[in-house]
Amino acid sequence: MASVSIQHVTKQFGTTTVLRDFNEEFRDGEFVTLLGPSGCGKTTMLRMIAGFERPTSGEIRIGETLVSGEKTFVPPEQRGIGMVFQSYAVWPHMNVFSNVAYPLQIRHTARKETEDRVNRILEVVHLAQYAKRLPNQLSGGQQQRIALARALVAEPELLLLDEPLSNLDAKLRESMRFEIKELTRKLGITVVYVTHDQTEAMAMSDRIFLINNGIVQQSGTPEEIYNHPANPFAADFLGKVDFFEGTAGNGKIHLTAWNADLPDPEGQASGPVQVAVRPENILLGGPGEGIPGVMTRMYYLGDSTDCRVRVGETEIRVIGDGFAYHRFREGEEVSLTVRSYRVFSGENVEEQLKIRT
Amino acid sequence: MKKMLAAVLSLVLMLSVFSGALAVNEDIDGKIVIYTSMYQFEIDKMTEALKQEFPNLEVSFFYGGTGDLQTKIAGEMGDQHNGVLSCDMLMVAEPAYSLELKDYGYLEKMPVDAPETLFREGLSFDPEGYWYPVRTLNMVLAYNPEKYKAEELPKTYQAFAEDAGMQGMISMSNPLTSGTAMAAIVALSDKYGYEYFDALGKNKVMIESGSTALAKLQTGECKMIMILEESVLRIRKEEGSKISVVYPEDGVILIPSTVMTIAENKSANANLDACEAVTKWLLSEAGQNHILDGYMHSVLKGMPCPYDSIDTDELAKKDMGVNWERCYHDREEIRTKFQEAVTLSK
Amino acid sequence: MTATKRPRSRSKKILIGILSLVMLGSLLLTAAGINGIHEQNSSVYAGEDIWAQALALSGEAGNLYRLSVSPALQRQEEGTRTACTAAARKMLAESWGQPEESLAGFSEEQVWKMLSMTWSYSRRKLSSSDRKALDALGDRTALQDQLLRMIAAGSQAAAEAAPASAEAATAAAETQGAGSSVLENADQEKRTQIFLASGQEDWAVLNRETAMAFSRAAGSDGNAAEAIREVTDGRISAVRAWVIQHARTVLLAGILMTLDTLLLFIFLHSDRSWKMDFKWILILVMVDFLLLFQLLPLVYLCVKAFFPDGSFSLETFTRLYTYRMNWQALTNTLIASAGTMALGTLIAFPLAWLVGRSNLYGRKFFRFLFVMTYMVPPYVGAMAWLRLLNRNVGTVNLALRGLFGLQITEGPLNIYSLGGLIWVLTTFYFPYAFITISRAMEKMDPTLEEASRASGANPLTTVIRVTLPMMTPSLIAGALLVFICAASCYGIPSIIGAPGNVHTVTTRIVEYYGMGVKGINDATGLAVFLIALALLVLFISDLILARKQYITVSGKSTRPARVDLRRWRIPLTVLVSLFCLIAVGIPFATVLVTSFKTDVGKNLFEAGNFTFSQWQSLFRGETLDCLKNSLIFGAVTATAGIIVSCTMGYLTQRTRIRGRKLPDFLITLGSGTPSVVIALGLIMTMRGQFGIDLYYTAAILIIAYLIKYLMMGMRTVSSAMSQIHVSLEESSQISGAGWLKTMLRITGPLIFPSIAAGWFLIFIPSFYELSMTTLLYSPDTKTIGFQLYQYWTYTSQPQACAMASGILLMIVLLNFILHRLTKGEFSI
Repeated sequence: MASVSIQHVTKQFGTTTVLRDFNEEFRDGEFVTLLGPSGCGKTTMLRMIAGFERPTSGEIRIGETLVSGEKTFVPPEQRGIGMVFQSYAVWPHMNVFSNVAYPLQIRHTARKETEDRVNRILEVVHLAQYAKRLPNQLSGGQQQRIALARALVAEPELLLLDEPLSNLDAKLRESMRFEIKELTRKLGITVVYVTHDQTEAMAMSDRIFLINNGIVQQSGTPEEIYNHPANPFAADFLGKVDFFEGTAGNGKIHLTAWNADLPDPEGQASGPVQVAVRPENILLGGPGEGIPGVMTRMYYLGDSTDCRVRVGETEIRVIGDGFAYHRFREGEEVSLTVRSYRVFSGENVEEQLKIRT
Repeated sequence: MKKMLAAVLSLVLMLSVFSGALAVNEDIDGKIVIYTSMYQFEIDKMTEALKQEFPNLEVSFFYGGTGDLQTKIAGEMGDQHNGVLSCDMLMVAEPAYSLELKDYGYLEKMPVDAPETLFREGLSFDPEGYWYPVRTLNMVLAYNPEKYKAEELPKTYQAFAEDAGMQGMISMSNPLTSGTAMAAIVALSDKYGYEYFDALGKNKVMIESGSTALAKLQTGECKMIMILEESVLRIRKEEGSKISVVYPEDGVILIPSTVMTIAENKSANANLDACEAVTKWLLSEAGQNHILDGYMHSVLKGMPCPYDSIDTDELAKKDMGVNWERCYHDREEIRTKFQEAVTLSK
Repeated sequence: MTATKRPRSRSKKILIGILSLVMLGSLLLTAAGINGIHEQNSSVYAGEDIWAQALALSGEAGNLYRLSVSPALQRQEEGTRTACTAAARKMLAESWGQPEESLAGFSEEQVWKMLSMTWSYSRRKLSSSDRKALDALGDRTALQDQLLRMIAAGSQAAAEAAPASAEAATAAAETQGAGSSVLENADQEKRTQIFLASGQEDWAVLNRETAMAFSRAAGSDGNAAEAIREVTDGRISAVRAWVIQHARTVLLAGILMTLDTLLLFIFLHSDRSWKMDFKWILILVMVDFLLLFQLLPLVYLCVKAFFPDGSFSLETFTRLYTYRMNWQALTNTLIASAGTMALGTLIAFPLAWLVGRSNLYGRKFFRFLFVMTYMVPPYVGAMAWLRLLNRNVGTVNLALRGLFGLQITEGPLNIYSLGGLIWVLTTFYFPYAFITISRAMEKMDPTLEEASRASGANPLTTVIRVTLPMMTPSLIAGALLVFICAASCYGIPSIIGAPGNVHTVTTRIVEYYGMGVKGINDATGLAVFLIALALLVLFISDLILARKQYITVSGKSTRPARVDLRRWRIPLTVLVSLFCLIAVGIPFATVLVTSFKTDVGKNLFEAGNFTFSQWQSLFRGETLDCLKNSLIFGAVTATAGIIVSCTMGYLTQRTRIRGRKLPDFLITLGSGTPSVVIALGLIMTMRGQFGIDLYYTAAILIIAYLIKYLMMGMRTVSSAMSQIHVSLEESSQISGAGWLKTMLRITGPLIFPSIAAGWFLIFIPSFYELSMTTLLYSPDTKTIGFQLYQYWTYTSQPQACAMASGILLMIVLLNFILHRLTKGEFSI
């Protein structure tokens, strides 16, 4: 089990800078997710840790060992890692058993011991009865488990996963999430996980590293980032959020479009501000219980109701619970209470929100 | 003044006499196609000359190796030997082929005045006029004095095949595809029997085209090759090559290559008048001079020999002689024997 | 719902009705064709042309009689007239070699008609001097009268027409000018000939061409006589005569039409739209082309081999294969091909991996070089290797002897051997394997190898345990490709093998072909062997590949990480460079150097040996003509080929028609068939036996090239099309564009690099092709490859080398253009 130390790593492809001064530590046994939109550099970072790419500058250490540096480079096969790929990369010409046994055979492990370890891990991933099958006879989820078993059978220090679940359907994705998390927790193994799906990241990670345009925007536990986003991008990427312009002063923030005021708890902001409000943090009430508005649309989602409420000159998105659908009616007058919100100063939210495609 | 008039008159007279004598044939018109295995530069010159001689006649030469042409003709004849050919005249190969075509009824009689007096002694021609020799090719031995000395090399065909020191370093053309090579081995097998082929085989003679063999002489890969004299004479004159001819003491092999006219109903253009005119021209001194230019020997009596060669009559005395009937009728047998002895690898 | 249903079902019914009618018609045609052939074989007449020609001739003879002969006869007195006709009857009987009595029943008209028909083809035309003299006589009518009287006077019947003979005598005394001597010196036959010829402007008896065609078809005079009689008697109708004459063509047309209609049914049914679409026609045309020019010749060859005289016999085969030389040729071919396959694949795989997956120095260059080798005519290299490795004075041999201090005069290496053949074949055919493997390697999911690395395996182990097994199908495909190319090769064995008595089936075929008519049958017998081999290879290749398709296209478009060779980087680069030098550099350099020499045996820089004359003669008119021909033929072939490729690509990738693999199979078979066999087949079927005479035209060359080289283009286009997701085209269709527009505006531009690459892949081999051209060329259609062969065989080696270098330069240039055009994406 090992920590991963990435010091001032920059990566350039030709003239394009893909990662800018990545400087972070992953602790031993931690489940870390690199999260961000496509092209933000997260996969590149993962591949650099694995040894399939070299940093343009900077150093990477796994545990105490320097694996990528100015003059040093340890090839992937010598880094003692396990890796699961998005496409599973299960070898079609070998059966399940051989696929999983491969890393042990490379290390010249004794036959009996190989058998035992492989069978054990197959049990863990619930594939024991398919040991002799060929991969193309199994489903996507099963193939993914083969890949997982193979990555873990040699008991590596570090497990790397590159968007392993994005090829699976929604239900399978959910169940696999938990399986992976449970398995790795049981083994106490350090995990670096790459995904663009924020739900996945939030569900599985000890810490999330949010990356955009090659720069780490924020790192922290899911709760930290969700409730205390450091910038509009972070606010927008995790969960749903709406931004409203306003002017702060005298302990109040006047929302221009709402034509209503929100208290400014810290009383420090002044001048133009952007207020970030999550739809689920707005409570619906009958008329007179808060900021007045009119219910214009309601979409029933079973466990929640997605509503549009007209306040002032604008329409706001509000997410209430399932019962809201029956309590309110389209066209009715309602009132809103904003439970929590974040205030960002400045006007160039657009700029910060731009996600590189 | 009078003198002037007389001069002019005599000039005009002379000119008219000459023009009459030159007898440029404008009546001969249309088109004919001649298949030949003469070299390209030869063809070019001859085409020019024919254009001057017969300004209204379009002569198209088609060049191909003997084997290639024979194949083409065989294909055009078809299974039943009654197909129409795409040529009107043939200047290719040797008398055996003429015999064959005559048998199939593909040739046309061409009258020529007094052929017995025209040709050299001993040259065969068809008495009915179906084919005449038009050029004499000469199969000889050649070597490269810059690589090997003449004294160390064979002087006879017999030694060529039997001399153990020559093993793997001799070369000749393929009798299956070269008419002249075929004639040569017929002559040699007549003289020495089929054992000659065995000797050639034992000496590992290489079978390839003349130009390849010449290159091997130049590089020294071969010590001596069997080749047509004209190829050697040409590079001697035009490239200043030092490659030299050995006129074998046990006999040279003279091969009279023939000219034939295709039967009217089987020819491409059915232009017998033109064919007759061209045949006559070819057998005239003018035509034969072109043959000499092509480094080949003439067929007419009293013509000189080509550049750097020996007098034709002298050569004829050394001629081994080829039995053309045998060349035609026993072709299969001779071929097979040759193949078994030489080209089959043991 | 009902409203839209009815019009559609009605048009469907109409279409089905039309198709059924056409099908019926084509079946009738087929039957007529079969009947016609039967008629041909059972009747006493040889040849099919005889009917129509006899008809045509009789038509003309009829005209001649009506317009010229009959009026002239009528002007004469009864006695003269009878005497002339009697004379004509006698001459007619003599012409046919039959007794006069057999013609007793013939009328005057029939006799004169038949005489004119018979003599039109068996008579020499009047000499030009005669013609001139007769022209000078002026009035033809008077001439005719005079001639008739002379003929009557000369005939035996003159005795019965005593009064006429007196007149005839005076007529004979009439003379005018120079023409008189012609008439006086003419015998009966010549006079009659002149009389008949007088009816035509040019003094020919009848239309020359028709007459000649008739004579060719007639074979023997007896048949001709019968034919003339049958036709003039009116026993054969024009239509029937035509059908019998063209029986084979009719049969062929019938079969093709039946097949076409059947296919149309299948297409329309599968599509369920029941609308005639342009693309079906295109596909039909393509299928017809393949059937006609590829399948028919092959089938014909096989039939000819098994039925040499019409009845089944294995005599050809037993005779051929018991002959030791042929047996040796067989084993040589198999051994050489297998050796080349093994060696070639052994070389190609590591090279493909090094160039495609590692960080070798100069990868792009090596790749370009190997692909280029594929583009070079094989015989060029063979020439070079001769210089280098001949056992007596080969350059390499001399160097080796010097290096190791060997005191031998022969060897150590000898190129005139099976081993030498395998070596040269390998150097020229390994690029085929290289290209196939490279392509597959690119398509292989790189994460498969990365997973192995992540599992702890070093690059070498990864190659052995993961890459190699995954690539096995492509390896086999590449290997088989090399095998069949080596087996079909003619140029290299003829230059290298023959002098050392290493014969192969291809050289034997060409040799047999050169031995005349009997030889052609033998050639066919050997050809069947090669066809069987090609079929076997195809079968195996398809079977294996079809079952185990390991190629996966990865989801993410990540570029595969290059394997770092670390301390092996330089040594391996040196090794690969060395190989390139040996296999590619030295031979080409040798060819180039030789082209400047006068004396091959002397050093280039020796006095007077350096010359430009060989290069100068390249710019002679003849060579430039050949160049022009090659460029045109290549371009036409490539363009037609790419159209077919696109159609095929569409057929296999975008339709679900059953049996769409069949044209693909045929095309692959075509490329696997040895060139010599293709040419042979075309010669034997396209000289008019089936109504198509392409012999001596440019068309036959182009067709041969197409059949041989179509596959490479098709595979390229097909695979490119398979990578375009169908949704791209579907969205075009939704927007209202039809099939053609979609192809032109969406698919086409997307796969343009592959189309360009495919075009060149067809163009370049057609440009320098040799084997087929040697058998199919005509004076007007000489190509550059053929010119090279002639230089090599009949002119001189330096000349041939200059030509070869010229060709090489052109190809490099073309390659460069291709590289630019496809923006370096030359996907092969």
